[in-house]
Amino acid sequence: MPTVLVIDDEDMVRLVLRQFLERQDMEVIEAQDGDEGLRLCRAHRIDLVICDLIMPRADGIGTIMHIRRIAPKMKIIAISGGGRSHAMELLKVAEEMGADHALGKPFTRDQLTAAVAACLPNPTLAPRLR
Amino acid sequence: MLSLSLGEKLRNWFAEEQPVATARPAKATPTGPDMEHLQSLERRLQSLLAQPQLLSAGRVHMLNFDRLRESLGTAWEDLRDRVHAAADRIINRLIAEQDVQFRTGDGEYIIVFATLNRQAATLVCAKIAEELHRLFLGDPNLGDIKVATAVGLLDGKILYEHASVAELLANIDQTADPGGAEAAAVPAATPLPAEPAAARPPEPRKLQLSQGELAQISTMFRPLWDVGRQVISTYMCTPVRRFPDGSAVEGVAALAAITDPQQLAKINTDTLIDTVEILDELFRNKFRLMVSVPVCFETLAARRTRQEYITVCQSVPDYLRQFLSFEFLRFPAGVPNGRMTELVNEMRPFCRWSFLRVEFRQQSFTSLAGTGLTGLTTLVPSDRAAEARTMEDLNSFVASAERANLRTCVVGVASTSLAIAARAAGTTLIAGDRIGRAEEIPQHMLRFRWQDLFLRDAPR
Repeated sequence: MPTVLVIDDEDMVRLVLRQFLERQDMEVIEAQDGDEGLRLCRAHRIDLVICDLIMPRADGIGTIMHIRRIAPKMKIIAISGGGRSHAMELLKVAEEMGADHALGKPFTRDQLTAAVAACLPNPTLAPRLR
Repeated sequence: MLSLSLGEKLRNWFAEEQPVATARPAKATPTGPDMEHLQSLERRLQSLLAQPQLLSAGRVHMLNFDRLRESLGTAWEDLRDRVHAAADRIINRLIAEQDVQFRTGDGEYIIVFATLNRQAATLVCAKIAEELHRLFLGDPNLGDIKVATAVGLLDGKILYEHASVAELLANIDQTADPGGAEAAAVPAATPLPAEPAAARPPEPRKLQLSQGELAQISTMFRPLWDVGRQVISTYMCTPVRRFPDGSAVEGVAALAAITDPQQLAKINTDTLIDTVEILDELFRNKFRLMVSVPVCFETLAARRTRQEYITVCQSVPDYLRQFLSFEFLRFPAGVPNGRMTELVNEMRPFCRWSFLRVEFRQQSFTSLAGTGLTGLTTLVPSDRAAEARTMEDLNSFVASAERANLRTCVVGVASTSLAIAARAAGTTLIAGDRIGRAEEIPQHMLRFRWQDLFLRDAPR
């Protein structure tokens, strides 16, 4: 069963993602900010990270860059938006800085399914942390 | 014994009508040094009012700011303290030491002139009213502003004659000696005997910091990241105040302790001159950059300092004006749209952009729409533990500014997370330690992308 780390400061977003991913037979670990996400990344065998960009203290793009350094093959989906006018511009930056996919909030179930499927074509294959 | 407060006694003495129901409640009876001061003031007043010729000489005047209050509308509540502080400052500057002034109500003052004749006294009052209205409203209609001169007693109440400031100033112009209005202000009546020193209230002791310490205000330049164009093209000129222990404060806080408008005007003028000289030198060395120059409300609000400042602006060569922008500091929240428009228009010929510094918590800018301002600058809180709240506030701040068609410049950004949140909210300009530290001299315009920000070492 693949393990997904969801990093987002909004409880509701984490809850919705957890419900969706668990229905796909995935194990979900949650982190409220980038620092906690990095700790969990080091402590667990993670297959996919879904990371928000706009978070207090430890932002999402910096977190993605750190994850990419400690786990170069990790699959990462960046998410952002929530009505903010320039969030899409930041998603592009996140892709340039290491995210495999980017989804603007609000995204549909199909969009999330497609992004996760693209990241985990073989769910049993989990990249090892370096 | 003072059974009524001095304010009540004076109000009863001077009232044209019974105090209105909205009058502010009387303050608690003062004690100690305050009481001594009030008793001394009352003695001085009684001494002045005991003179039979005082009323007939037209030395008692009443100023009220009803017109100003009407013009400011709902902003009056926010500005009341500043109006009173400014009125106290202007009145005390223009009256003589032996004259007496006191506030009898909300925006209402009585001035008793010890020596001036009626014409000179009304001139002083007209000048006070004109300066105060100009400070808050720009160029007001002087015909609407009234000065009341006490002319006699009836049933224990003082009778007043009212005249508009415009009439008074016009009359003075017509009747003054060739020496001008100043000459008209020569006292006509015999001066009152000087009050014995022992009867004067002791001057309250004030903190006297050395001028050298106050003079430690210098200017630094902070890079401003135009995040939309991914370039650092503007350097924000910021006042920095250094303390003897080596610490320093920057920006508006560096000027917070300065209340003297003349001193502020001098700092603003020196800053403009220094900045333009630096800009010119850089320009001649093929550097291309914009600089943002701070200028305080006090400097622009008073006509004399504004004219002095504009004179310097006029000496800025045309080829440099397109690289200048102004940042208006210390403007009161709620400054009327017309006043703002007028000041922006006065500065517009000398700059490319004009920004207004506002409080971060201020969230309504509808009154600034259409004033010609390019945008707003604001300082975000530096408390990282409260970043989540700051991010939420950033969203509403920028949205509110955009509704008024204003760009936003966020200053004090010390973390990548705040820079991201500011951009996501729609901010176009960002400054702060995370973008670049303040430097003595501005640098060349330079390309600065998100990658540059992320790849630069930063504490997480």
